[in-house]
Amino acid sequence: MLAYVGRRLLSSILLILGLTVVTFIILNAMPGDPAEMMISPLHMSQEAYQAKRELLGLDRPLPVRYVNWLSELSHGNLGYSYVDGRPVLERVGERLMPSLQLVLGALLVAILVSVPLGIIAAVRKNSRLDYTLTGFTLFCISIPSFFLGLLAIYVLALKLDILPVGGMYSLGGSGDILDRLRHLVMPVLVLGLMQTAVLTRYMRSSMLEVLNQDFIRTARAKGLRERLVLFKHALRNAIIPIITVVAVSVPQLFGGAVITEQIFQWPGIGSLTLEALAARDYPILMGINLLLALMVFVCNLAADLLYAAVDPRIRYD
Amino acid sequence: MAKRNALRSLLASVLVGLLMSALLIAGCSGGGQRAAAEKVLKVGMWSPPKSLNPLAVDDAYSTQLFDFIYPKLFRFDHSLEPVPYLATSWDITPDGKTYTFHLSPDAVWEDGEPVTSADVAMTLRLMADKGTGALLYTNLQSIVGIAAYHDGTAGSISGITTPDVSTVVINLKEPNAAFLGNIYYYILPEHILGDVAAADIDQNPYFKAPVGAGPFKLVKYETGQYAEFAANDKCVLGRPKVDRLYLQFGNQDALMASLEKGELDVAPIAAGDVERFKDIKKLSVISEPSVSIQMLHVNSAKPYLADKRVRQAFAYALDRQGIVDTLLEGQGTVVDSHYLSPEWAVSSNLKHYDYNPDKAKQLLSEAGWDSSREIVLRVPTGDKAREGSAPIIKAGLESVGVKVKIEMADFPTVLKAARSGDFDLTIIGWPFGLDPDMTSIGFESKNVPLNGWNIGHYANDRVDELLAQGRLTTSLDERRRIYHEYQEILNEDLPWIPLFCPNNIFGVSDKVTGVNPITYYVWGQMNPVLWNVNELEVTQ
Repeated sequence: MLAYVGRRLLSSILLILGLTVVTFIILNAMPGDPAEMMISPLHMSQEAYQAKRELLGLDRPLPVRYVNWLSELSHGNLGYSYVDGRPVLERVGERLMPSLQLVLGALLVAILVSVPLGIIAAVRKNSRLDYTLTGFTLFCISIPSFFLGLLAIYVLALKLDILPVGGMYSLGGSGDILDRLRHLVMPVLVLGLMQTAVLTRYMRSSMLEVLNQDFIRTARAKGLRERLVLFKHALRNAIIPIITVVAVSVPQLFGGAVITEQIFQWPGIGSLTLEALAARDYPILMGINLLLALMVFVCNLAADLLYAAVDPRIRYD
Repeated sequence: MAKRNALRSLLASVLVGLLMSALLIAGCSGGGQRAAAEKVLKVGMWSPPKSLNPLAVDDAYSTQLFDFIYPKLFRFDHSLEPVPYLATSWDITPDGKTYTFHLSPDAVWEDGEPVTSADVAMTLRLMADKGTGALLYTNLQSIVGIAAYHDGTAGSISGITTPDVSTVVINLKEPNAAFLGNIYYYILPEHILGDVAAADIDQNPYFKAPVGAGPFKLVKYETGQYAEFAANDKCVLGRPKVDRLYLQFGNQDALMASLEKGELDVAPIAAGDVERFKDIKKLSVISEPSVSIQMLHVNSAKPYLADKRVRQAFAYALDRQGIVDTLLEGQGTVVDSHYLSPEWAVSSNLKHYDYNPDKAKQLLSEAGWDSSREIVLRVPTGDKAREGSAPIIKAGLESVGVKVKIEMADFPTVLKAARSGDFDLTIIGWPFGLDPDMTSIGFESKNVPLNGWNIGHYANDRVDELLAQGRLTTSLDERRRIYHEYQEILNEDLPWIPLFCPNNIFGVSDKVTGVNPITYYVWGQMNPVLWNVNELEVTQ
């Protein structure tokens, strides 16, 4: 088991390193110039431009800059933002918690809703209820999140006036846990709904497959209560593929919740990515990229290990 | 039946669970209510500031925040006249080469330390230092000894002296009528930053919790969310009438929703929403002409665009009023001038380019336009009116026989292309306003990139001459004559074609009194309602 984790770790480090090279090259090949973006047109001069390039180290050749970045990384330093000079670790770090709240909240909602719904749809296959649920999931997948978000703001914040428009907390109310929860509701629901739809479909088909297995028939033939058959025998087996889906969607949601974050003014990783792109802030983009790559690795490893924990047939030697 | 019961109870518990949590959260009222006696002003702004360090950034959003916390030597009043701030008075010698600023004895930093001439000298020095990025070096170039300091051949700037703690003397190489506008920037405290090396300034913890001397103190800064300020009792301008100020950052839709809901007192409004907001009670809509002009930049360095008749033809081919009416829903103005402020520098003898396709065709044929040529219009994304005007421009030009290809890309991409001369036409907005000399960045022949923003490589000897004279002359009458001629030449040559000037539109809660918006643009006053933030009051 430990040897397995070690092997995975080693291969991932090489992979992630390769990835940083590719990202570094692509970022720098993007049209646009960070120094140019940072000087107001009215204050533009050759002197200011060159001083800025020197300050940011942009006057050095690309390979030198990459090696510098790497050697700094080996000391735990991800570099400094081009825009405000603050350490990348700090800039990305302060966005981590907001993103984590949003993503975990959305996944929690998605799991809590989709697992039961998936079971119901599978057990009552081809019933009116199943069709209704299918319709609901189709609706959730097809509706763009910006539309859903704006609709939610219009109804819940403006018309019913029960939730705030956006942001993480009310102005000046940042310490209050209830205030934070109220701000979390809409973004989590909007982000969670799409995940709910996807997960419900997975859960339904996974459950259907398990329900057709021989051991379920055996369990029923033994005269076990239906409740026991469903939740003990069927669910435990049906939930395994769901673990993968959830694990894969964590890093995806971290970087991909851009639209939800923008609509609800949520200061997460997604909106930082947009800001950094608009300023061509390469160090920040490199930092985010590294974070997401690490996250993919950790989540995949966690999914594999969880597999072994829930399914005794799976072993890593 | 057991199966059905199991499912039913499962479904029921899911529904009940969701409903319960929703009710629980929605039912709780928002926390953080402050004492009712405190007067709070809540303002919305499109983008968060990029940094709290005025030496690192000078964009409109950041300077709006700087304006609350950092002091300046002087301010500009409603009619663009400089009025006292840190300095109670300043003298300019008759030759226009020596500026002496007398600092107010009452000016103190938040921590009680007096504001001294050393603060001013240090700030100017840092502004020119390569270690800080020398962001505003252009503006200081007329100071004696500045280049030597910038290049590292001198340890200090010989043209800046501080005879005593409350006097700053600045010597210029030659008279510069625009100089006050050039040094109009934020002053930092020497007693805190004096010992820090220029290159380390950016990392200094000072910029996490700045000690300023402006009307407000920064209390809390939630990155990407909001900034909270408290009134600065010690501000030399007098204590603001509100006790607390919030600056909330967000996209336009969210800010408008917050304004409508009463979560904000002042917020920008989109042109298309003006009518809707006019119907909302307890709010008034301020739609003032701005001085920011969207310009169609023409690359006159391309031989086929070098003839001014071609550029004039383009102007006649465009239905600019149509753009204002449709895209801005009338909340804007068509302009023929390249700057709208200050008023004294604007000529009344400008030619109006009306929408006249026949005239355009005639001019094009006179100039021998090759109708098989396709030109590239580069449009930066991000501004709805600008993006929307691109197809209208294309249609206008194609109707007179000029083929146009639109290339849309994000702002940095278009900027790079524009500055490297890789464009025929591009649209960029310009907020000229404080002094007509500001416009030299776009039209003086020496200001071609990398130096400035003369991206079309426009060169007119008379323009260069007038700009040089305009700087050296301190007589207002003389300058008026110079800049009128200058503006008339631009109006004739059209190095850039002015398109339209969108209004600055803000919604202001009726709770806020003392609103007296400005129409010009200077640093730190992107939001025209906050120009006199000291005098704004909030009634309950």
